[in-house]
Amino acid sequence: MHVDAVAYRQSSQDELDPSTGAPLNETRFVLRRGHLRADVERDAVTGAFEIDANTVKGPTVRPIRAEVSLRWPARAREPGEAGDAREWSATATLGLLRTPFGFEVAELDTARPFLERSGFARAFFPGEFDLGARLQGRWRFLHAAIALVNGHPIGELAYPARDPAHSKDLVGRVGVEVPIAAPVALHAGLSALSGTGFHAGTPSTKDTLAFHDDNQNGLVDPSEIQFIPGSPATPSETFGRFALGLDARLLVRLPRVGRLQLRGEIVWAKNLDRGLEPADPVATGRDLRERGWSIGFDQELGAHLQLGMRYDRYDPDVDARRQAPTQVVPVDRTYSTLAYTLVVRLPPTRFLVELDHVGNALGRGANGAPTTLKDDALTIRGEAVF
Amino acid sequence: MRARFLARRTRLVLRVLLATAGLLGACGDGSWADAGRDAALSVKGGSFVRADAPGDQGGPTVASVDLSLTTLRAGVVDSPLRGALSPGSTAAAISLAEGLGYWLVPADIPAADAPDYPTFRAPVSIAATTAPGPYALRVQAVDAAGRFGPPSSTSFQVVRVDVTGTLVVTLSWDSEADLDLHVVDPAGTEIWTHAPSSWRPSPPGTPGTPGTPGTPAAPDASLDGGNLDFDSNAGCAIDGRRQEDVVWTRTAPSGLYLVRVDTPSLCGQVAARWHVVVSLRGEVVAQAAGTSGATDTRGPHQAGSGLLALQLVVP
Repeated sequence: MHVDAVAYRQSSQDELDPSTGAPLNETRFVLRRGHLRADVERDAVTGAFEIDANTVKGPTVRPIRAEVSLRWPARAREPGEAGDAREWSATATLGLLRTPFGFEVAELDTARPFLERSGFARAFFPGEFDLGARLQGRWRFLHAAIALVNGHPIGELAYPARDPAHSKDLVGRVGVEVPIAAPVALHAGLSALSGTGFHAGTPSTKDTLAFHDDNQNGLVDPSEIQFIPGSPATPSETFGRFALGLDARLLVRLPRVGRLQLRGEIVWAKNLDRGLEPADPVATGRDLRERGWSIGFDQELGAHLQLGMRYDRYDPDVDARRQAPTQVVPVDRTYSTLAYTLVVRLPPTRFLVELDHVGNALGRGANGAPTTLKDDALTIRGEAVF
Repeated sequence: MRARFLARRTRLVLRVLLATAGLLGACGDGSWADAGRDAALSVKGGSFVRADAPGDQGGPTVASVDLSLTTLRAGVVDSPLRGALSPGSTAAAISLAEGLGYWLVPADIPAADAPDYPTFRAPVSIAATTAPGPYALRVQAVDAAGRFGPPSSTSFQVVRVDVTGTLVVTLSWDSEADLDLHVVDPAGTEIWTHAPSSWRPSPPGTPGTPGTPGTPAAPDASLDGGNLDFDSNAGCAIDGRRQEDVVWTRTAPSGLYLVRVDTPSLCGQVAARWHVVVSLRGEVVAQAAGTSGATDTRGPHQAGSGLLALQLVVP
């Protein structure tokens, strides 16, 4: 359970979004996530069902995980038990499952030293979970997972947990977990996704008349009535999308202090944004190339303290251009966040204080060019696991 | 020993975080998010800056300003404003003299007949609460370095379109809901959205009167009856007006009037607080107020529907 107190956020306004009616104030108390999970195990068969309740967009309860799995070996071996040395394992899963891509998407909410995932992870895999089938296995230091999913994660803006097109997305990750020396280990992986997105067609429209009171006299004059012809329906279309990602973590166990983790991840993608600025190459007339990366570290300080820092950048349209007065010029649409976090661990609770220095290109400078919008935030989170 | 080490580490971490917090407080750069809803002037597609527009900083000049109307109604939405800026301009800053803040719009491509002069297009809206009177619209050109040029002023008048008549029944409300005014006159005729006038032509055959074959009605004959002027937020097509009036321009029949408030839809709003005012020859003679909630949207919405707000007798 994550309960946040957003103590300060620069972009907050005591207004409503005119298009959605959603409050623009973010300085508030919010139940970010409350997960309730049930598991069942019968030898080789396991099941899990998990629901999430939150108040991010008003009180909401939704399923986030519903899995049925078949695993081999049938159950995990106890330490020292015969068979403990088995060098491989495999699991086949069907249901609403976590997408196997990269490191951040798979990172547990209760283990992450930062409030949320990086911007690109939330844009590409909003909600992390998608419906489909997954096969994952391990052999010695090698880990691999591949999944066939709808391609519409539960946090997607357009069709969450639904699938308007019959084609499926293929996504997977191959990784290694290598102990380099006694206190040092390297975890790294290569991820890829290939799939199909959906562009909605439009229904037909009828002829209409529109009135605009051009001369402000409050009366309908013949010249102020405009004929707007109807248009026939347009068909829906599909488009291709893909992603390629690299992730690496270096884990160092420092004596007397605790674990140091250095982390980095980069993703190149095309038409994959489903959570921040949904990509629709049919509407834009060109493919949208996206790029996101993050680097950071977190350091344990004894049993109860942990601190970390992470910098992430996400560009939803690497080729973006804008019309300047006399020419078309490239424009940087990047979202970035520099996050500083302090974690106090008092099992079964954690308290996080995070300071986010947010840079995004949603503002406009005095010269009319896009600039960053002030959006720094200070958030305090209480977490309980029971 | 271990405890002292951890305590030292903790103090160090807190110092680093506090120093970082102070640093970030100073470097939250960029522009502020501000919808500028409390400003008298708003510009479609513009970014609001809650500060006085800078004076002349040696920037480019404004070549032309075209405010298509010199008289704007308080509450007007998206009235055209366009113009041209001198070469090198990248934005236009638009404000009201003595007004709150200013709006920035990026410069657009030049017109074909003046290829060196960037243009700007900025539909302007005037807040409904703006007092009538003369105003000056200031436009400044800004260059790529953010330097503002000398302001160019254009005068215009803000007017308020008041509803006048012998008898005026006004319904206004505070949220973007769809409310309907129903007024029943002494003859029992109900004036509402689907029957917006109580005027009826005289029966055919009345000698020498309009309605007789060959005798057309006067163009303004409908002013003899009570007329509904507007169906605001009809079908939840939000127009921002939130006011409806039934007006008897010439004479108001003597007798009992009923005023009802119907609520076809709250359009997603929680409630709508409404206010009914009746004016007779310029004097307020009756008022009523109430709140429409979800229960008021149930049932049919037709003649006879709605909550009775007030009844009055006109002598």
